[in-house]
Amino acid sequence: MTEPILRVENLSITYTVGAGEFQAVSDVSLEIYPGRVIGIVGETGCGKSTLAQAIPRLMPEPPASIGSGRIIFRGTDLVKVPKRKMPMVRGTGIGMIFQEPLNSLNPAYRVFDQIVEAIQIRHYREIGVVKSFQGGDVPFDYSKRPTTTVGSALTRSIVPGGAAEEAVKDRIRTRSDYRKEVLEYLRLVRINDPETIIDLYPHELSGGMRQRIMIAMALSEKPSLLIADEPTSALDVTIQAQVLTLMKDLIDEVHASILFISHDLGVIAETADEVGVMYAGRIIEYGPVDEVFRSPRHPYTKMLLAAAPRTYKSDGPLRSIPGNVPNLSRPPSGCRFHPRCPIARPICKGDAPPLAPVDPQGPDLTIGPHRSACYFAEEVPGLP
Amino acid sequence: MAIRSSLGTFWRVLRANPLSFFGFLLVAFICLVAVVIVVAPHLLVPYGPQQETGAFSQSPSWKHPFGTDANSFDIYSNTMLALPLDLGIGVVIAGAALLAGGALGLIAGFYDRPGTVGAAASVSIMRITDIFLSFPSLILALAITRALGVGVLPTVFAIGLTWWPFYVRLVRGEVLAVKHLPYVTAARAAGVREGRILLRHVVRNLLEPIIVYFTLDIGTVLVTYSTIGFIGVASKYPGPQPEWGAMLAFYQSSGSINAYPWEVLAPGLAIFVTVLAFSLLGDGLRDILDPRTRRAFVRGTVSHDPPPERAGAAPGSESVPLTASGAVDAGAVP
Repeated sequence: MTEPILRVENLSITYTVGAGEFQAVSDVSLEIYPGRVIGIVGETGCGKSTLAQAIPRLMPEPPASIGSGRIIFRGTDLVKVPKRKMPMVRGTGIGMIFQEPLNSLNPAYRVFDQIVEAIQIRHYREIGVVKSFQGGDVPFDYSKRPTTTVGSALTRSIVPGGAAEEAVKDRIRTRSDYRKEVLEYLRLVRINDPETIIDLYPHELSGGMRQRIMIAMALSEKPSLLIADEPTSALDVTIQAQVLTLMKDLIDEVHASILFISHDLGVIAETADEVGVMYAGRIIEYGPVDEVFRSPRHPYTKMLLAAAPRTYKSDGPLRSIPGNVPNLSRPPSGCRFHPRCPIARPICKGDAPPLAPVDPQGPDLTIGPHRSACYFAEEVPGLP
Repeated sequence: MAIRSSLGTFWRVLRANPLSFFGFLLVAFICLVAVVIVVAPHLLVPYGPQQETGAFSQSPSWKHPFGTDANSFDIYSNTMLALPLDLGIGVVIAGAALLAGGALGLIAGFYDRPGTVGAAASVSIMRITDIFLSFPSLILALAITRALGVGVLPTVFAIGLTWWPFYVRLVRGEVLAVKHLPYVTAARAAGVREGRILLRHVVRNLLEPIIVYFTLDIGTVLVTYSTIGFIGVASKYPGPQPEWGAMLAFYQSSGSINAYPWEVLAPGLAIFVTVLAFSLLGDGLRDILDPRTRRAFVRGTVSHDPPPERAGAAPGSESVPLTASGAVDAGAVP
């Protein structure tokens, strides 16, 4: 397949707090190819949100700092991009949806103003009024973005970006042009009665609607990579399902790659193509989501899956993983899971195990083979 | 159309809140009177500032609504003639302090990343502010006025010099509270540039407390100026340009308050009414500037308008389907 949109290489992020410092993300590598959804799953404090914010360089620096590694987005190492140029990458290049739908909209502006700000940013970059990010040697060509087919455009809401948009692209847009476009995006995220909603303030909307407005904002910039940091965690289960369905549809419609961060295994299983399991700042298992969840090859993944409550069966008490998430200012030596691991041996305290393919003979799939950072990966299926 | 609708909102909020409506009317009235006195004083004021009426120390009557003093000057005329000056002083000093202190406060609050030029500037601004705040502002203003010489301009300059630090602290505190809110990060993630984030996302959400503080502050400035006038450093009274503080000082020292109580009544009442008017206006503006309370007051403008949000707005709760959103959510995704 083609070049990945995003390649993270050996990324380490350190927080300096007071006199101490701790590594929230250590030595994380991953690749995201166009049109794919990568899930990152892990407990609270495992570094997944830090990773999500580090890619568009949104984490506060300091206290956070990128210790080592590269973030190569469309051929450019974002670690080397000066901070003042980062806004060019954000939005149209890397979009983001946040955890807190309730506070992620500016309370002072109506829905229209919120979305229009995003649309304007993209519009100005498209027509060249404002410089946009040129990834390496390959300038990003908006016209090459795949448009929807006629069939899908007729059956479902229209994705802005067709011929009609081309026509108005080169002239100054009026307020009603923008209003029309905002309404299209509101319909795109399945908001009923957009004509009314567009004039409301955020505090007048429910959590699910606010989250959808957030998604509409992120999508209206047509990012090539969308980072969704726990986009559904603050929502009810019913609305969660709607938002997930919506996001999956949208992936097809705007053809973006998604980095999906969640602590919820079910959500990841439903949305992601590939999943990386994070523990104490490291990715300890990585592979196609079905394979990882069906036959985990790291004891932590196995225990995490076992600890997930299942509503449909009640076979005794909920399982938990003994011990605590390690303190990252003094992480355990070697494999960071070894103090809690049922199959830990002396070697685990030595060098950290590499993230190695589970089955060296297995087919090298385009989405990458199943890999696990455990010396005893082949013993994991036998665990209770 | 947008302007008309926001004016309509303004009107509805005022009507729903009689006390601030009263304050708004009072401020409008005071400003109107001040303008008339500047343009055509004879319409409202029968006597000039130092015009002798021939009636000495008379109690209030139809001819002299607030009586006359020992020099036979009409107290009503002098009080009214002082209005433009006192009002102007309040607005100018508070306005200058708002602009200067506000700008410094924005810088001090927004650019605090350690190791940058902005952080160094922020620290300097805050330390200088602290130095100013460590002196009682009234005493400091008095000292500066005295050093510069007696008169209106030195006093205005002196009060202005001691006034901006309050705005620095207020604005910086508000910026610090707002700039880490998720919607600011969300705007940054959308590719909005820092300058625009500061103006559109941070400053817009400071406006409400700042403007309220500003309107209340006009009254405070007025009282401070009058206090300095009362001590006798700011303006001379009787003189060509009367001023309320100086009038109060002169009447309470020259005559006997027991014998001629009406002499201090007019300037005292003038200060009271003006300060009150701006305080009420400030309260009303708070309601108008905050979209949450604004909508609560203006129920019925939009067909789906929600009921007023519960007190405190319960930021953590998501069970606020305020619109017809329950129905919308349920039927949204096929």
